[in-house]
Amino acid sequence: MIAVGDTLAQWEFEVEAGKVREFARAVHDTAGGDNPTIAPPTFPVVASADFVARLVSEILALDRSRTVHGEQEYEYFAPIHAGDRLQCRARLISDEMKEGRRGGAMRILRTETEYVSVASGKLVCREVSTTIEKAKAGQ
Amino acid sequence: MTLTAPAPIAFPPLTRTDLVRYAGASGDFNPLHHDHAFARQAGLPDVMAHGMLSAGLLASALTTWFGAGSVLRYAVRFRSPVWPGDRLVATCERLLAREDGGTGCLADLSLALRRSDDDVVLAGEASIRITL
Repeated sequence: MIAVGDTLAQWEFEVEAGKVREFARAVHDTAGGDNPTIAPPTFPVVASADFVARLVSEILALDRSRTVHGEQEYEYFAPIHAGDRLQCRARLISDEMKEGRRGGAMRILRTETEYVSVASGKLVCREVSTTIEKAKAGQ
Repeated sequence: MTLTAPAPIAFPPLTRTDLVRYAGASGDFNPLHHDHAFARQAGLPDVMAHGMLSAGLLASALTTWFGAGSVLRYAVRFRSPVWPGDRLVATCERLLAREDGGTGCLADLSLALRRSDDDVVLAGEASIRITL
């Protein structure tokens, strides 16, 4: 059973130049030119992909069919560059029930992921993601 | 101080190829985003764009307006699903400058990704550093 404050996963991620280029192209980010060295703002999704794929069903044990991604927030303390190595840690920071607009209780969970530069030891990005499990139909 | 908000940015109509390219680039291979039969079985009319693709497009408007590495905070709320064929436009609603005391200034802004004037699919807020 997972509780608020628990670490859900820890991993290390290498920011490959080709991956930055591929991601920039996929989100139509042309600010860095043809060979961007600064990662686009939402690039941390690449670092978190394996964790996020496991989050809903496996880690939080939610019903995927009524779970949606509600909000996403990033704070940046330094740009993420191609070539960086990031130490990543995801925690559950809140788990609340709220009355849904269509009746029934929905569950709102927030996870925080911190990305720390291995080279400098400094926090470069903090991400908060809000996951909503809607009420069961007819509840 | 209220600064002049930058001009809207229109993205090309979203294609299935855009969704597949984003799946590969991001590593999000949820079949709802590329497998039409799977999406239909889940009750959707078509494959649905990744929410974070929309968030990525709106973030690209930010870096186009203010430069790579200018973003200090970026937050989005997902309002409505996005589908292939959607024509999305990024708009900046409000841009409020704060003093930095240094060589540039900090600004807070509200922004949105719209399918039409009154159809916001993604609502956002950001703080940026403007280098003067």
